[in-house]
Amino acid sequence: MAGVRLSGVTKIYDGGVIAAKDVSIDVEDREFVVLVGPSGCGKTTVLRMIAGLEEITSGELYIGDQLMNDVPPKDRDIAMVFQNYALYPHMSVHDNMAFGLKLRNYPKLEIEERVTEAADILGIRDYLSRKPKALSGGQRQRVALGRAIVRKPKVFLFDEPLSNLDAKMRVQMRAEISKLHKRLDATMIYVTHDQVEAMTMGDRIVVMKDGVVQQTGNPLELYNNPRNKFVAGFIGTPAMNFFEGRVKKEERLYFEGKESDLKIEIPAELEGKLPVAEGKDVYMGLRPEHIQPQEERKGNLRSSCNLKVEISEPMGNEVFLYFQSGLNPIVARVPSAINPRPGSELKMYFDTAHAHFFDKDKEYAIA
Amino acid sequence: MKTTGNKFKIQNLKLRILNLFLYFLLIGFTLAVLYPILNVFSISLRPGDRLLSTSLNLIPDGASFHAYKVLFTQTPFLLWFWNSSLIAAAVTITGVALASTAGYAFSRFNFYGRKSAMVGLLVTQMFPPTMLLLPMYIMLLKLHLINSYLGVIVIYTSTALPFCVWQMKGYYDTIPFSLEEAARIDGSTRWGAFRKIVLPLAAPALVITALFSFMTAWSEYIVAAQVLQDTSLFTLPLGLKQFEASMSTQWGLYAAGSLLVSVPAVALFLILSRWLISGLTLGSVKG
Repeated sequence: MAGVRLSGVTKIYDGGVIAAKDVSIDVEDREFVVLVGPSGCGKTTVLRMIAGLEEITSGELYIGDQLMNDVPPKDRDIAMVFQNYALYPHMSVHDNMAFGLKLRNYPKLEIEERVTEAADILGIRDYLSRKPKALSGGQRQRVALGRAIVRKPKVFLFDEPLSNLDAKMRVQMRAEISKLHKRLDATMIYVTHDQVEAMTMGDRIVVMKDGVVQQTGNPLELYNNPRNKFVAGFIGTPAMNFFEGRVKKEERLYFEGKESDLKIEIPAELEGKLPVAEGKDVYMGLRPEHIQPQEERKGNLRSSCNLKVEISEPMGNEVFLYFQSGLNPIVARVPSAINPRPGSELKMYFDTAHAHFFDKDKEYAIA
Repeated sequence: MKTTGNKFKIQNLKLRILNLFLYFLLIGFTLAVLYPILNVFSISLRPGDRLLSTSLNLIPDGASFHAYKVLFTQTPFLLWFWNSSLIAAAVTITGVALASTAGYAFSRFNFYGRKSAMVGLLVTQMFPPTMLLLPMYIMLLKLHLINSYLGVIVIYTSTALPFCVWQMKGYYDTIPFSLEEAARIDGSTRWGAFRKIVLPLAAPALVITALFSFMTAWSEYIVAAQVLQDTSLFTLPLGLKQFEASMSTQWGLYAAGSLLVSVPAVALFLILSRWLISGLTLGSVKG
């Protein structure tokens, strides 16, 4: 096993398109790091540069202590699981898994041992003689995983491996990959656009946008202390609510919404951090669980507002309520016992102790 | 219900009539294809080099394999057969080797002049072969390749290559690139991934390339007639032409030779046709 270190890595394609800009990530040995971001953010490009499938325009890539910039993929001792499985269609499941070992001239006995062991772990032993076309999507992705684990590489790379599976299979495979990580105790770098996958699987998450790393941290760190508005909005489902407005001061600091009639008192614990924002245009961010109806009011909920329910989405154990306040869409996550009809009005309380404030222009977090 | 039943019966009847018509049409085409072959076979069995006969018998009166015997024992047929086989094999091997690699380069690499080269290859297909005869002859003359196997091999290969390169390129385009990437990560070199993953998957295209190259060389007459002058170098089409004279053509030998010439082509097609299957890449990637 080995760590992976990217230092100031940049990728510029022919034609000047910058896919990754000055990316620095330090993946520790045996760590599970998830690269997450919207389509086109450069996460797959970064993974492909680690794999050696894309050349690095500038910067340095180390696997372990070895500089890998100019080392061909076959000599990097990595394994990669592709989004579209990329199984060799003319080979059986067994041969697909044994292919890499045969190329490395492993003894036949050891190849058999490793393939059987991996097939047992992944529950595909009965399919070893089948061709990929005779397998379901989930089974094919298991074979792709098997092909990676038989090699016992230094680093596993996953490029959106669950994107092509249905929702149920995705949840199942997600758990299996997490278990596999614990079992193999290996360094894994996982790319996804699904923040739920990122939150549930990663020891650490790297959020990317437009080829630039926005924030690196463990899942709760990103959820609770997003560095900017993008990270705050990207991490969490439903996404954080944003209100554009201005921080003003009368007796105390308060937030006044620009496109809504919101006037929200800023709690004392945040006041100390906000004087810099006084008189400035800001975004206030509140997670859906911090907007609660009267009935659920608890603790330190200081400001309230009457809002009309537009849509109610029952999820079983909770309900997502969608409101509109001026031009601001608002979503709240409330217990399932509260399931108002669309059109009804609810008094909703804003737990401003959990509010986040972001600079209007540069969108970095103020408090 | 009764109306629906009647409708169904009428539709069924229409379908039967259509099927009957199609069968007649297909039988007609089959006969049109088979008749010349059977006629040539019949001529090859007739005694006395008779081309025309009033008899409708497939096996003519006094039928014998005399023409076949003469062909093998008293003419250089086997030498021509050897010459043709040698040339066709060389053209096929060269064609497959060059088209498979050139097609791969056009499909996978983005190099300067790629598009112009592709169009250039296509343009060469727009000239009738006879128009290229004179420049090719002059070229071979300057290279001292007239009256040599290599001369015809060069011309046949260069004639067959543009089509083969295009169709190989087209087939490679359908093979997902991620398969090669997976192989390279598994431990292959780029060449290894091409050889072990791409080539086996491109089998149908390779077969077409092989058949096309073979047929270009096997049955060609005009170029061979210009380039090969020594009778010991003659290919089968040139050899068969020897049986034709202005006063008396040896039709028995001509017919027997013609039938035997077609045997390797048919055999090759039958052998290679098992690779002409679609869907080789099924299951490799999420479709």
